[in-house]
Amino acid sequence: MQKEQSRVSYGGNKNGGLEKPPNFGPRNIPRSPSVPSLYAEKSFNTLNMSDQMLNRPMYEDQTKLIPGSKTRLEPDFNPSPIQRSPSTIGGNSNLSVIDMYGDDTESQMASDESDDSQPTDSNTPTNGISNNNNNNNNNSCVENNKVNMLDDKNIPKLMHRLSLSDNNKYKTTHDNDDDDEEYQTQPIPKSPRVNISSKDAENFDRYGFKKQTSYITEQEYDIWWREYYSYCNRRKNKWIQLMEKYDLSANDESIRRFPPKSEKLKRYVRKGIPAEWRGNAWWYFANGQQLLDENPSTYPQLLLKIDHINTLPDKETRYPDLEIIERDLNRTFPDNIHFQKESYQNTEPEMIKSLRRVLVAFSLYNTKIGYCQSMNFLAGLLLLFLDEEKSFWMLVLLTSKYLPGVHNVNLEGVNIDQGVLMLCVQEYLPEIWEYVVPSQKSTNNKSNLNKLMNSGFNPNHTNNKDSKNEFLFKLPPVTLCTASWFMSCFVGVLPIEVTLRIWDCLFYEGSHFLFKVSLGILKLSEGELLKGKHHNSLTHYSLNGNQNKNKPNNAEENEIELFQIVQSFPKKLLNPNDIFEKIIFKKRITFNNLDQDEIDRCRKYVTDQRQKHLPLTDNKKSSSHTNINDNLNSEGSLLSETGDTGFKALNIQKARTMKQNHKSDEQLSETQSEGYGFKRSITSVNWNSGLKERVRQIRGKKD
Amino acid sequence: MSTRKKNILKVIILGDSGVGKTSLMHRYVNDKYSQQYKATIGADFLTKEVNIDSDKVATMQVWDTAGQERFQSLGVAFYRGADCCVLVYDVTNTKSFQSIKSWRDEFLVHANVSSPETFPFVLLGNKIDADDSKKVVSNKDAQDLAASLGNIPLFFTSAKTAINVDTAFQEIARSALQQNQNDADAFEDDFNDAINIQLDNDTNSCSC
Repeated sequence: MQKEQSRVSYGGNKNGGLEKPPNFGPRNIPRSPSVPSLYAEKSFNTLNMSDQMLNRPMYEDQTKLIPGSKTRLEPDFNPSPIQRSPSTIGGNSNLSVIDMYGDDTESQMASDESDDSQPTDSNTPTNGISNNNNNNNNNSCVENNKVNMLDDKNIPKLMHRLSLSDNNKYKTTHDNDDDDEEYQTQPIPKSPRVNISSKDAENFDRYGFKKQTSYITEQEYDIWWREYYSYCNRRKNKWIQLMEKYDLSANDESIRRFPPKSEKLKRYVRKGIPAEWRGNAWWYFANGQQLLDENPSTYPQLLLKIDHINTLPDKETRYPDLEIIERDLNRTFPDNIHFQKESYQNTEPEMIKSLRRVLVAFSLYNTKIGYCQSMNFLAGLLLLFLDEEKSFWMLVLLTSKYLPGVHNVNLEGVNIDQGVLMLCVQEYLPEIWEYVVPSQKSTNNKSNLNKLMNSGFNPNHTNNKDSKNEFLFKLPPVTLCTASWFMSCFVGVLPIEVTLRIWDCLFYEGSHFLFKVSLGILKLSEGELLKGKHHNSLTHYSLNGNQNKNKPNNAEENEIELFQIVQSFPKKLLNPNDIFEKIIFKKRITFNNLDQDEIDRCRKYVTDQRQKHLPLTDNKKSSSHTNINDNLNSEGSLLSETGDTGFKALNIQKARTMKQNHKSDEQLSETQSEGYGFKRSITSVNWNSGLKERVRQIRGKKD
Repeated sequence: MSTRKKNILKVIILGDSGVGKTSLMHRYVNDKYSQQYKATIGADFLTKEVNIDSDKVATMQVWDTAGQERFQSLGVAFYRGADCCVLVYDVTNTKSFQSIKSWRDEFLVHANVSSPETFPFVLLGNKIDADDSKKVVSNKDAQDLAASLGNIPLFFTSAKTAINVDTAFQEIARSALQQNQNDADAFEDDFNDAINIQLDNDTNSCSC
């Protein structure tokens, strides 16, 4: 019955089933963000079991705080776009919103309102309101539960039990507007948030993030959201149909299983998992449950250990990570309402407490990694969609399965991934590659020539190969920026809705998707880059004659420009479909052929290359060591500055590369013949034959 | 020619996590302060046009880095070519003060500067707006440290209230420009012979 109901609500509408989604959307979404979905279920249970004892007082408080604007309060907490749009209708305060939603969505909204049947809240978006209330209530409940659960060392079991028994109850209540009212009476933990003024509510998105950033205005956000919101609803309807086809529950709170992997499902995931299902979907696709089932007591024990550590007087010296974690807690999502002290009447938000526990627990769990900055962003985002324990295990999975070694003390995993990314850029985005590498030896417009000279210059190809691969152990500066893309999986790099779409794919498809997206971002930014290139080459030509310093500056300027664009461009990518429609879904874009196998091979290749290189520079006898180092570090400068040493260095380098070749002859003859491991791994791909052709042509010309 | 020339000055801010590197950069470049900065991962940079001694113009490229120790290995690539290194500690955090020397050493190891003895560093004690009761690093200690690091300039700053930030960065810009010009020779040696022909002119005219 529930199922049917939900279906009706979503799909029964002539407008494309949008009417009900608003209800579901806002309601569920806010809840999950504010508190992990599992807990949400549990909260429902608790609600049912213990009734709303604590909540009522809170609720009253809320109303007191913002008299007559109960609905508005809700939006604040669980700011969901949906809520806002309806709210504007008929509300005085949100005229601008009304206008924004005035077109096609309007009718849907209207119908939604009627469906929602929340007469009391006529001012505010009916759907949004009811949903919000639910969310708040749920959230608060959830938080309560969460807190309790944390104390309870049997968390996992408890959760399972609860979820099983609660599903039905929840479902029935879920579709019922009256139930919403009941929920309203039970908001406890969230009540602190109530403080936020109704005006603020509009400033936050459905996850509690501030809409406005340094790169995106709130107006831009609202305009975009109006469309994207309908998109999300359409997608959710599709998902519901798909789930029903597989006889799986499509109820927001009870979703536990998803269809088997298929091309179709992949496409669905790429088009976005419904926000309300995200936490569970990630958990399911990443196979987190297995990990949890195998280690049911791990997290509770870690929490016990934390309690113990907190009693130690010298804890900060014994556990230096604690201090760094502490410092980052409030620097994770200062722009998110759930992480802000202000929204909790200056008491520490539950989210911050959870974040602390997850990070500290992880640092104790995996001492090889401990705490690495950027994990705060990973854990923070996870906590918006999953409960604490699941967030912890997802963090474990992220740092081991998806981003192996990336957060290790030496960050070697980052370096490897950046090497892989650079290989990919070199192959797939040659125009951008000229920006990445030329900063070292040639300006952009000369790099082709340079390449040409290089390849002709080294008949035996050894030196050529070495210099070609130099960027693998001496990573170009731009990787400093792109490293953060990987370390935090784009959290804080891209706007939130884009990040979430990427996370959907990350957990479904694997880590190669991060490389794809990185290439996609670079590809999208190509226009901006090349604009600058034209400009630069002009100045280069006009000034080159009389100003020698111009040349270094030009290379430097290119480097700056590249870095600047790479740094800021992603932050303006508000619309996920920009990257998905223009890049990811385009078959003709060659790097879309990258798959996990290939990335894994690339990772291995880069790892090998770096290992081969590092021992040589690090462990060699002092004299040659320094020379090689100098040579590599300062590129040409040492050579010309002190010719003698330079030559020595060059010779040593030659000897080294020859030696290296020997090695590779024995070990990796295939690799060597190809020049880079990357090419070898993708020989079967179409584009590569074209590329090979081109290389042959260039070589032919030179010969 | 040198006065009109657009120099690019590369300035790198180093220091422990949370001492206020990002805040200082934003205060200086945008004259803004926010409580809402996120932890820096990798590096960020901003640029600002600066006038130095009223007759020289330069573009200052301020690089803000991640403070956690393990990120040092990532930053190596862009230390090179730096014209000035800003070392920041938090006056309310002893540990951040004790780390200054290792930040400096780390920088020198990787930056590959031509003459480490004269390379310009500037020391900033940030968060000077904090309650006196919270300040744990004495001015005297800071002065001693600055002296021991080769009499490098020392400023007590507050990114929050803008105390001394501009002054400090004026000094930073001046040192960076100086360094930039000292290095001009070595810098241009990077380039090929055709360009070296003009090198003499440039260095001669670069006497500011």
